[in-house]
Amino acid sequence: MMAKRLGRKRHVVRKIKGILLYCLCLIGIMISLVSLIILLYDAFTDGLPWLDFQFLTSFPSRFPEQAGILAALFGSIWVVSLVAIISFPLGVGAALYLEEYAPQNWLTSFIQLNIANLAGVPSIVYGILGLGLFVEALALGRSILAGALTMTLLILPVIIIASREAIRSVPQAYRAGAYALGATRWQVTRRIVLPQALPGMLTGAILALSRAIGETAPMIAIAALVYIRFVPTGPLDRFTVMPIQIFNWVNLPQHEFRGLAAAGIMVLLAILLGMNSIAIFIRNRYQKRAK
Amino acid sequence: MSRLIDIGLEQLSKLLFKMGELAENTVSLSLDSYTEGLEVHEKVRIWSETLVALSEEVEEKAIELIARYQPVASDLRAIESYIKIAYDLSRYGRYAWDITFIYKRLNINPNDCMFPSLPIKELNEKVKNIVHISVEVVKKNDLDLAKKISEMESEIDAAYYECLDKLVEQDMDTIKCLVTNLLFIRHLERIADHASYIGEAITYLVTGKRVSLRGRMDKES
Amino acid sequence: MVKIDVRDLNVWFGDKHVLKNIDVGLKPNAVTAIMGPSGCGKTTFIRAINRLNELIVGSRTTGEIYIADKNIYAKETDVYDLRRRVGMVFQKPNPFPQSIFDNVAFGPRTHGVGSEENLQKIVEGSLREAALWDEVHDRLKDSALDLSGGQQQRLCIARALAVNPDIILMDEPCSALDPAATAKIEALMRKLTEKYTVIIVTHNLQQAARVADFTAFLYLGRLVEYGDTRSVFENPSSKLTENYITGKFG
Repeated sequence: MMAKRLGRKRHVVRKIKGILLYCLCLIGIMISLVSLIILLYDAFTDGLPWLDFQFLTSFPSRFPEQAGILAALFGSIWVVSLVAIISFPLGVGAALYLEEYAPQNWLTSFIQLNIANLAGVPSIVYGILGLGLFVEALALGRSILAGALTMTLLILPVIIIASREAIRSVPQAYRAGAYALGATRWQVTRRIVLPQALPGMLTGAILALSRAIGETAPMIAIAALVYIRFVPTGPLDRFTVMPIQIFNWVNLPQHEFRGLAAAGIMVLLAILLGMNSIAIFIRNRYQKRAK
Repeated sequence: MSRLIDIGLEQLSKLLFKMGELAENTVSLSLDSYTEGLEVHEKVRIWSETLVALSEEVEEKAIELIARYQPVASDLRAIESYIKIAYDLSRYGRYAWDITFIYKRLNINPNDCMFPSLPIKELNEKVKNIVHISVEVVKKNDLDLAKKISEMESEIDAAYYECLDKLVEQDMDTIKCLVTNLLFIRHLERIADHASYIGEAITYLVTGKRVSLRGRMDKES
Repeated sequence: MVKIDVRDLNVWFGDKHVLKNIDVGLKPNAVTAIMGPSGCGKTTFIRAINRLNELIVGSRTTGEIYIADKNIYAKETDVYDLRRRVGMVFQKPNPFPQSIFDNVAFGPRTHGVGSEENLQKIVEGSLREAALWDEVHDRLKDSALDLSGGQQQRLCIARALAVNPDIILMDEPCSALDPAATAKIEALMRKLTEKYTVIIVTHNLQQAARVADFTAFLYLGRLVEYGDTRSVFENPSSKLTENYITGKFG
């Protein structure tokens, strides 16, 4: 009789603990969601009135009604495109080397450790590095190319790490099967590992790029201009990017520029959403296939 | 480490030991009845039928072990040997019964048919002995005992032919007795043969080699 | 005529001495089963025949293996051609995440067969040899991963056959399959001996007894016994073998 009563008590305590934990998790997610919703709502209500075709096709101006984000938009697109072209092959190549070809010695471990560390270095450091190396030492000036190269350095560790994970996720059984048929290491890499790992690599790369598009500090260090009234036409042109334009508008005294900044944020968010959606789409499509 | 098949193998050995004891008693009783004229027909018949039933039980158990456990090597050889030995032991019972049947069927008093010159009593003893040793060899898996069986079987063969020669010299008016004695020693010789089969089965179990322990006909003549 | 001649084979993984002084001649056009308790070196042994052990970091091999009178561990050996001639089927079926056709065509393509017509012929021939053609001939473009376990394993066999090997190594090929699929593959093994030499590693003693012409027993890295299956299973010459196959240990 006593034992039954004790058992029931223990059961109730466990149930309460379970509910408590559930509530805690719920509160956690609610806080994150609510903050995000408030942020978006704020941006929308401030920016929507200013978001129109004129906004997207005008250059910045002293007058809020005439200001637009065109230069920054094109600048961002130029930079991200160049970063994509340069960083993806470099990152994938490095990851392939480290996973498939590198011998297991202290040098390889050293390299791996450093890559992991580099992924966590504050972006302003990359900005200063870019300033010294690309802008001045290589005499590229404050050009799109310098900005793109700096951003490449920034996201390269992330791409390498993501690519390595993708390569590692290729089951060893596939490699064994291919080797057993007499394939060379390069044939195994090209015909089995790469196709299998590509979706994961792409997803990682796109996510890294969406980070690059929003990074402000390195661009400030490179001194991407805040007030340009032309669309860049080549990689050596001077430029500005959206985060910097938004930052500039926020700091202007006129109240209307806040709205413009919010509109700029909306454009930036839309592009980010688009890029992330592509990444998710690729991942889902290849996951279905691989099943 | 005890395996699943060990339980079955143990049951088989127990059955065989039981059969061996019973077979030995059956043969002894039957042979004694012949030389001393006892009426044991019914008893021996029951024992013989028991031996047949037991040998069928051994066969069934052996097949079950083969189907269920896929035995190999020594286990497999043991099971094959056990099946053979069970049959041989049941033959002991059958011959023993046949012997008691001789007098009954032909309605002869055994005391009327003693041929003193015939070494029937020695033959008797030899056969009882070889049966005893064959039962022992199953219990002990002893190759030396198997060899002894081989030697004794040769001796019994020799004694058998000696008896045959002597019987042929007897007068024709004793034909009933000639027939009974002939049948008797013939059955004795067959019992000895089965003893040597048992020895061969045990030899195969232990060594994996199939040998012949029987004497050859050409040696005798 | 001995097809595979192993002489004083020793294999180390790091400090671990996995195979010790293996000397054996394996007969051609027959099924040889390699059996033994876990960790005795069976898989290492067959992987020595197609030099797949070299993919493992820290492995070291000494000794010689002569296939058709040529030492495959000699410096001049083309290891990629060796692996073409000595095919391998693994314990868990591992078809590539590609179509059935591409799986079988992978080997030939790797070794330079480019013409689509040739590939078609090779793929059909291999699938027929592996007793899989009837089941998949109308869906060669489907993903190989949609096949059942037994079909996948036969696909892996077809894949190995597509490069025209002499020897086929199988590492516990049926251990992940149900009895019906196992029976099909065992029948296939027997049929393959018409053209190929088959070496299988198996945990399953009854399979070795059913399928193999010759059986080798490995224990703790040493070759304890080798002979025709009938003798090994009826009257093994080593007490160790006897104890292993009657289940007294292992």
